[in-house]
Amino acid sequence: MAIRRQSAILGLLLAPATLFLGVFFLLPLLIIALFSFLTPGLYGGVEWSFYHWNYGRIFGWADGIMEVFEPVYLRILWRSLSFAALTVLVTLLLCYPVAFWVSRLPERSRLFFLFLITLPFFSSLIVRLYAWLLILKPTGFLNSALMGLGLIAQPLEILYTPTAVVLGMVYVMVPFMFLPLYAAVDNLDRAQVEASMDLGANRVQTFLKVVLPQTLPGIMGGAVIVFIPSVGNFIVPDILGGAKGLMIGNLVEQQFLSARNWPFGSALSMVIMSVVLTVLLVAVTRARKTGAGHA
Amino acid sequence: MKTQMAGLALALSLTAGAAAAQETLSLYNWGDYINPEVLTKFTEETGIAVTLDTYSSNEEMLAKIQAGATGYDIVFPSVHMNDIMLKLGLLEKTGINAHPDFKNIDPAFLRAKEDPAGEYCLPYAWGTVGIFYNEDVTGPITGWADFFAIPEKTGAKITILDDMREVLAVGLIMTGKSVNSADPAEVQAAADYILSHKAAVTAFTYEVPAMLTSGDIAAGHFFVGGNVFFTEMPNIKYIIPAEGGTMYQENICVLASAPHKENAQKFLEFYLRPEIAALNVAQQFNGTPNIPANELTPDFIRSNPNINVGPETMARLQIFEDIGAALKIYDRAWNTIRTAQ
Amino acid sequence: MDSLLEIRGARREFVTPEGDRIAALDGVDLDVGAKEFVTLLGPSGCGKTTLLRAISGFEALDGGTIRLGGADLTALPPFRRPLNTVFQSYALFGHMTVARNVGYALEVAGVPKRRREAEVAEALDKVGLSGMGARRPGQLSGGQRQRVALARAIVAKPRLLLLDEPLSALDRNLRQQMQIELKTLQDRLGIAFVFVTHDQEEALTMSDRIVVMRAGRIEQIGAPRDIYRRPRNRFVAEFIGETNLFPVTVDRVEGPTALARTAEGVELLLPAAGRKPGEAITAILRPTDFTLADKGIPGTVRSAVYLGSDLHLFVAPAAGGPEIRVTARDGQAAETGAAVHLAHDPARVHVLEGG
Repeated sequence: MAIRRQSAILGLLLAPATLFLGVFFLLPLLIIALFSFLTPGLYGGVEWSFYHWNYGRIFGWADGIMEVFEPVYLRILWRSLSFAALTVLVTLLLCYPVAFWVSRLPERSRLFFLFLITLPFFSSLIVRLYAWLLILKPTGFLNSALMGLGLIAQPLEILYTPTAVVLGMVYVMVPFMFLPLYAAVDNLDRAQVEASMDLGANRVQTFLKVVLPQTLPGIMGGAVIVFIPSVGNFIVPDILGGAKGLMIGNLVEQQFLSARNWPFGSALSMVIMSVVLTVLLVAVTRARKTGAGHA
Repeated sequence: MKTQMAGLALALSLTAGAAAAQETLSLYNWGDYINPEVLTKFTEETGIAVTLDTYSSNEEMLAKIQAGATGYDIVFPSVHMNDIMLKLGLLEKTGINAHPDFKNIDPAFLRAKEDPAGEYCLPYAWGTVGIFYNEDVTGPITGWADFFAIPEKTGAKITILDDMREVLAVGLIMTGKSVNSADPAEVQAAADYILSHKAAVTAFTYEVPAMLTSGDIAAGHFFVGGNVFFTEMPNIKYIIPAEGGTMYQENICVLASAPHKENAQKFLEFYLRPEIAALNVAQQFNGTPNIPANELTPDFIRSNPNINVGPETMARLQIFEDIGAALKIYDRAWNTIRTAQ
Repeated sequence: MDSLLEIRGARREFVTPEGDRIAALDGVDLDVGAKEFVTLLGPSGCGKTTLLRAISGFEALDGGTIRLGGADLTALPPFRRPLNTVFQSYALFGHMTVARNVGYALEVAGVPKRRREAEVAEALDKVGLSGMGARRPGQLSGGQRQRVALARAIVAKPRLLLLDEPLSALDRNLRQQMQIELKTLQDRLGIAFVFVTHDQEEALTMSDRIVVMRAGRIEQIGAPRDIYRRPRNRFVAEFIGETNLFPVTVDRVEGPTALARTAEGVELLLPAAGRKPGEAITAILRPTDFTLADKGIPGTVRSAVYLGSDLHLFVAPAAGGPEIRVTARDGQAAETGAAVHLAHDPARVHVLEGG
């Protein structure tokens, strides 16, 4: 009796958390999973009958009449993953040294810098990307400045190229990479760096053997946080890429907003989610393995 | 979200000016597709406060209504979407065609196949999709062939719209097919035409007015409404391509789920008045199905043959229809176009 | 003298956030012999840690030189200096096993794996951690980590080992045990240790010589007994061990003994050598220098602290003035409030010239 009452109280106490997770996380996910196996309605929405061609279209068992298998979807997915990986790499190379520099600033400058890093969160992404469009276009600020200085004769072709897409993605993702990296670098045990040098390791050896392994959790954290939204991003390729290189995110958006094919969009989402989840699991397992020794 | 906030803000400001016992009307329209003065005037005359939310494609609007968005009274679907929404039972019968002022409407604009008499929706406005070009850079051009040749000839840049059906329509026009073709081979041929010119195209984008003004591009595929940005720039011209172009028409429809059907009815009747339709045209630079309104529009609009088109130009224009399941063919073709290197 | 480490005129200034200049090292000269255990002792901020970091290379000098075995180290980066450090926090590499920690110096020097493993085993054996190589630092106790840090620092067989308050994190029992072990290890290795501490008891226990520092300067260098019995000044006297300081005036000299008196009238006997009546001096007596007797300085026990074998008394002299600290043997009747007399041997009084 007492036990039953206890578990009832426990259930009541846990109810808000369960409800929260259920409503904001599990339920939407279940709806997407369900829709991905339903028949597309002619004018959007779904018809309530089982339909596996949504996946067939992507992976190759389409009937060839109503649904056609095209390797283009896997190619788009691959392209998106590559861009996301490149974004991770560039943000990492950019933020890593800066994190060290910031962690050595006096407290007030440090807080100011961290404030600057989070400043973009206070304004709309679209507005900020349009600002980049103004900077990068042939008559934009960048080209005017470079031509004004006599560094180039012809405007650089950046806008509406893959370079602009990577640049935009890097710009959007830098804060997400910086903050976990900074936390790791700030937590770095300086005494261990000194111990390494004291034991005869030069700066390169010390970096590779002590600093890098110790900041690896931060690197992994930043990489995961940058990678996931980068895979699905469709705004940057649209605005800065001139919509010329289709990303998986654009494809999903298009299924809902112009092709009226919700189930196919859901199936694509499920595929992205599985890929990202796999990447995440691998990253977490590896980070845990290397981080196991940290006291 | 942002547009909802903007709508809320507009609602609040209009509310402040209106009477205490508040009547409201909620519009869901394309972005920048109604003259704000029309709304102000409506509120002044009727005391009904208006809120405005915006969308950027028919499908976005449809998806939102289908997903159960409530609270909207009036939407502005294109003709083919008007048909779809009627088939889906999303629209309310208004009997607007029984109003005495309905005689102002040119019957040629009763294009919705499911509503041939105008019992549901009121034809709102129409326009063309053509080419804006900077004549100083490109010289005179007459149509799509000239347009796609600009980059090679002058080294300048061109853009086309980031819109599946508009882009494939260009390909279908150039291969001599209907823009509503449901034949996979024809759509594929259209895609091939676009693909053969993809390298010449800098971007698929709606940023035409700004980029053309700054000189970043020399020509762009865009809506006639873009003329509003170039009234002071005589070197920027607009043409309806000689090979043919598309036209669009939106109707004012009342949703079956509208919470303020009476106010919506008042708005439809309000918009039947020629001076109101003309007020809208003066700011929007597009066409109106309201015959007497055409006499009230500003001179420079009425006298521009590319805006106020004559019958022979009209004959070159095609309008999108609902193509049902064939949309899938277009989606595939569009993906091919956008992924090609 | 044949010294291993020679420091000459070492100077280092810091600028405080307020903009003041502080001399962390203000002209330090120091020699350390090849097999010597030297302790740098002083309150925090005295410059002892700066001096240690200057030797290891983590702190650059503004002036002066540091030589090791005749070679000038002054301009070398830490990783080029043939000496090693045991850090206060141990600074073990958390992501490596104990064995890899210990073998780190050999690993970065490119010593082949086979030889490395043998030397790691030997170093672990020396510190009593045989067979612990596969563990991670996080799985060890504080004392074990201390030993790993030690093994890591001696594996490359440096001629000089620097130790930066390595015992401060250990509890008292372990600390005392480690003090003995460290001293034994140093004897066995036959290398020089420079040890930093602020704990004077630790310094007295282990050192061959103690360097007492204050405000960037060396106050006194000497063997523990020297420092304890013959402090050069009031600061050293007060810093090392419990002390009674008596500012006195010499009253008269009688044969080998002189009689001196504090302003309040407490009378002390001291060696007569060199004393003249009327001169003002400071007489230093350690608590163990007093015994409870029938005659001597009369006073009252204000408090008695029991310390196991000893009894620590605070005695207020009848004449007045500060309380005198006395170590009495347990069993002597000296409860709080008891009237006692404090006797002392004049020969054990250490005199500082001047009041």
